[in-house]
Amino acid sequence: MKHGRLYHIAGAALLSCAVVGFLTGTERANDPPTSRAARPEAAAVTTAPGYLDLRTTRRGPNAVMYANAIATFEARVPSPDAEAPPPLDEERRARRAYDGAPPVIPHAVKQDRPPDCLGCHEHGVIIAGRRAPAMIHPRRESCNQCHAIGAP
Amino acid sequence: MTLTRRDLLKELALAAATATAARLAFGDAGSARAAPPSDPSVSWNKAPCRFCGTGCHVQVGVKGGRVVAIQGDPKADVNKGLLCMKGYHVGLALYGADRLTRPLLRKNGALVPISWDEAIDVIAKRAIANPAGFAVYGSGQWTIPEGYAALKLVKAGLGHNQIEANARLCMSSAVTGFLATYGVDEPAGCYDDLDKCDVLVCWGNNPAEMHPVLFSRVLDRRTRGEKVRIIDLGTRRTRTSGFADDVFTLRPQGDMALANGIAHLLVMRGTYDKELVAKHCAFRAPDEKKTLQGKATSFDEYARSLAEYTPERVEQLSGVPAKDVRMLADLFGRKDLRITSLWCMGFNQHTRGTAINALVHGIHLLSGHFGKPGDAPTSLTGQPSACGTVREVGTLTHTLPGGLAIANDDDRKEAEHVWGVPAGRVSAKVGYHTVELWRRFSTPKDKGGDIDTIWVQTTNPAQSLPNVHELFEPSRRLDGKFLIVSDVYPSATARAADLVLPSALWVEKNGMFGNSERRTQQWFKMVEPPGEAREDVWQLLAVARRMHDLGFVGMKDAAGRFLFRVESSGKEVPAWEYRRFHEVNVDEVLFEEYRRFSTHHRKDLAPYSEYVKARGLRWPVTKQPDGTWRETRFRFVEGEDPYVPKGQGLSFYQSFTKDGRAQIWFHPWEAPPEVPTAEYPMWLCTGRVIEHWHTGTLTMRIPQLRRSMPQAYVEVNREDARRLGIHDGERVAVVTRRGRLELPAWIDGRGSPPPGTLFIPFFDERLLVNELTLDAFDPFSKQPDYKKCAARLVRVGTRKP
Repeated sequence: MKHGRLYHIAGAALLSCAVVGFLTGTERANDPPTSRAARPEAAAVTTAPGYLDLRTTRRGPNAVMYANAIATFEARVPSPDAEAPPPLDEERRARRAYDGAPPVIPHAVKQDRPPDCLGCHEHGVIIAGRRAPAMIHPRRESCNQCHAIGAP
Repeated sequence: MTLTRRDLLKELALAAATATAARLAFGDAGSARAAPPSDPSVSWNKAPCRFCGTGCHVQVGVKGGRVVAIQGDPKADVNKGLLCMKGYHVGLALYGADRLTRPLLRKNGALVPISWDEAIDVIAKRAIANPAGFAVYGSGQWTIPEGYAALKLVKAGLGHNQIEANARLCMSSAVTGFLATYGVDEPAGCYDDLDKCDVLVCWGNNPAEMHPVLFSRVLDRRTRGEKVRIIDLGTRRTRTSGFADDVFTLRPQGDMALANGIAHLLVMRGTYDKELVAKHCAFRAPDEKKTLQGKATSFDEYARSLAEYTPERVEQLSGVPAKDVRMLADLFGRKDLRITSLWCMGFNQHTRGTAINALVHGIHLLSGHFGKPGDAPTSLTGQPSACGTVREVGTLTHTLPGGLAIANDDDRKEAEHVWGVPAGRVSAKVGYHTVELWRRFSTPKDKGGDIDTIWVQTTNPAQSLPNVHELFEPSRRLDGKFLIVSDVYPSATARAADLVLPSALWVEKNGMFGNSERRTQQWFKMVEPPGEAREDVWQLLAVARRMHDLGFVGMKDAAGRFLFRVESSGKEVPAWEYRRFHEVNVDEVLFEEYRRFSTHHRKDLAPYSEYVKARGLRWPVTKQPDGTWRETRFRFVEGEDPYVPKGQGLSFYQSFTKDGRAQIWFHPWEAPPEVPTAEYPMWLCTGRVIEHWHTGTLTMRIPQLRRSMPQAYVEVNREDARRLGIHDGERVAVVTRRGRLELPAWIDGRGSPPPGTLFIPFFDERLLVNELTLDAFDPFSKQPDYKKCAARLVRVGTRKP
C-alpha cells in the first residue's frame, strides 16, 4: 500500500503540472503578442535577416561603406524612379477601368508567342521589390485575351 | 467546436505562415485581393456584347444613369461568365469625349448644327425627289428591328431594292457557301461542338484574337487535361499558331488545293463515309453559266475531277508538304475522332469565297464529320448581328426576310401580304451589290452614276470599303451626291457626310442581335443617349412618316394606313414623334411582324417575350405541346431538329434539289486575280487585332484598348527586313497599284508573315490600308478579297512622318 500511495502522489503532481502547463500554454497563445519594445531584454537579441532584406540591406563591417552614396548622387542627378510608388489602391484603380475589370499589364510583354505570364502570376511573386500578383481566377492560359497591355 | 491545444498551435502556426506567404507574394496587397463589396446602388441587367459575332452576354452595371461596370454573364451558354478585353471594356464605348449629340448639315463646306425636324425633312425630300437614286447602306451592327425597319422602308416604301449592308464585305461568301451546299443559310452546328471536338481545324482563321472567348473555351478544355489537337492553317503565323499543335503556312489561295487534296485522298482510299454520302448527299460542279446551283454530277465524275489533286500537286499549289496533306486526310478519314472546322474572313474575303466555303462543307459531309456533337463545319462571323440582321432579316438587295428571295415571285407576294401593301409594290428588279453601289455613287450621273443619295447607318464605309480612292472619295467631290450618316462618333464617313444624325448606341436603346450560332438575343435600354442622339429605328420611322405626310404613296399600305403603324391596345401611337416613341416598345412591334417571315425556311423565331427571359435562343425555336419554346442546337439532325422526320437520322430538308440531299461540290483551284510581279513582288494581307473591332470607331475611344494597340503597323518577315535593310519600328512605305501608305514596320510582331508577305490591320483611320486593297470580288457572293493583293515594300529612310 505504501507504494500505491507514492504512485497516487506522483500521479497527482504530474496531473497538476499538466493542468497548469496546459492553462499557461493556452493563455500564452491567446495573449496579444507583446511588442519587442515592451520587452527590453529582447533588444539585445539580434534578429535573423529575411531573404528579402538580404537583397537590399548591407550587413557586416562594410555596411556603411556606401552610406548616403545614392542619396547624395540623386541630389545632383534625380533618379528617373525617384518618385515614391503610388499607394496600392491608387495603383489598383489606375490599372482597372472599374472595380472588377481585368487589370491592364503594367509592363512590356512578348507578343509573338503564347504568353508565359503564369511563370510569375500563377502563384504570385516579388522580384526586386516589384510585386507580380497571383491571378485570382481559375488557371487560364490565354492571358492576353482579357488583359490589355497598359505599359507605354 | 472543440479545440485541442495541438490543433490550436497548428492553427496559429498555419495562420502565421499564410500571412507571411501572402506578404511575400503580394506585399501588403493581400487585402486588395478581396472581392470588392457589392454596391447596392448599381443595378445590373443583361445585354449581348456590342462587338463581334461570338455573341457573349454581359451584365451591365448602371449607376446614376451611367454604365459603370461590366461582368461576363455566368448564365450565358456562349461565354459562361468569361469575356475578352473588348467585352470587359464595352461600356466605355459609350463615353468617348467626341460623341455626336446634334444633327449636323453641311453648309458652305462646314457641318453646322440643325434641328432634328430639319434633318428629317432634308432626308424625306431627297427620297421623294428621286426615290430610285436613294439607297440605304447598313451593317451587321444594325439591331434586328433596325434592319427590318430599313428593309421595309426601302422594299415596301420606296418600292425598289437598293438596300445593302457591310456584311456583303464580311460574310456573303459564307452565305453562298451554305446556300450552294444545304439550300439554306447558316451553320448546322453550334458552339457546343467546341466542347466535344477532338480536333479543331482553323482555316485561315485567328480565333485567339478574333473570337477569343470561343478559342479559350477549347484551351480551357486542354488546361483541364482533355486532349484537343489544334491545327492552324493560315497564310501567316498568328497568336492562334502559338497555341496550335500543327501549324501549316499556306500560299494565298492554296486553301482550295488543300481542300481538294484532302477530298481526293478520302475518295481514293475509300475512307469517306459511304453511308452518309449514299443516303444524304449528291454531287455538284460549276456550270458554264456560273450559277450558284451549278450542275449535278456523279460520284465518279467528282472522283475524276479530284484526281489531279495528288498530295504532291497540292504541295506545289498550297505549300503544305505532301506528307502533311496525307496526315490531314488521315485525320478526316478516322471515324473515332470528332473534327470541328472554324473559318471566318480568310475564306469569305476571297475571290473564290463561295467555292472554298462549299469545299470545306464538302469535306465534312464526305468524311462523315457532320451532325454529331463535335463534328461540324462552322463558319464564324465578325459582327454582332451579321447573322441576325443581314442574313436573317435579309438587308441585302436580293433578299427578303426569313430567307425569302426577290427573284422568287411567291416570296415577293408573301412579303406584300405580310406588309399589307398593294400587289406589285415589291420590285422584282435586284439592285446593286455593295461594291457596285458605291461605284455608282462615286460616278457622275451622266456617266451612269444613278445613285445620288446613300443613307449610311451603323457602319463606316469610308474606311471599310476596299480601294476607297475609287469607291468612296470621288463621291465627295461630285455635284448632286448626298451622303447621310447616322453615327455615334465622327468616323471617317461621318466627317465626309453632307448630313450627320447623332445615334443612340448599344444600351442607350432597346435592341436584338443574332450571333454566329443562330442565337437571337434581346436587351433593354438602360441609359439615356447623350444630347439629342436618338435611336436609328426612330430615325427610319420619322423619315417614313415625313414622306407619308408629304404625300409619298409608298409609305401607305393597301388600306391607306401608315406603313409603320404602331398600336397600343388597338389605338395608334404616333411613334414617329420622339416624345411619344417610348410609349410602346417599337422593337417588339417590329420583331413580332418580322417573325411571321421566319417559318418559311424553318428559321422559326419565338415571341419577343421569350427572348426577354433567355440569354438568347437558337433557331428554329418551336413551341412544345406544353406551351414552352424549345431551341435547336444541331440542325438537320434527328432528335435535335424538330423538322427532321423520324427515322431519317439526318435530313437536309431545305435542299434546293428538293430531295433532302446536301450537295458536295467540286471547284478547281484557281489563281488569285492579282499575284506578285517583279514590280510588286510581295503579298499584302489585311485583318484585325484583338484590341480593336472593325474600323476602331468605338475601340480607339476606349483608353485601355487604345493604349494597348495605339496605331497600325505593317508586319514584315525578318528575312525580308534584312534583305531590304529595314529595322524594327522603322517607317516604311507599302505600295500597291492603287495607293501608297507609310507606316512603321514590325518585325516578328504579334503575327509573323512568311517571307514575301506583309500584313496590315485595318482599324486605324489615320493609316488606311483600304487605300491599297483590291476591289476584285467573288462572282457569286460579290464579296471583295481584302486578304491578298500584290505590293511593294520600300524604305523611306529616316524621314519623320
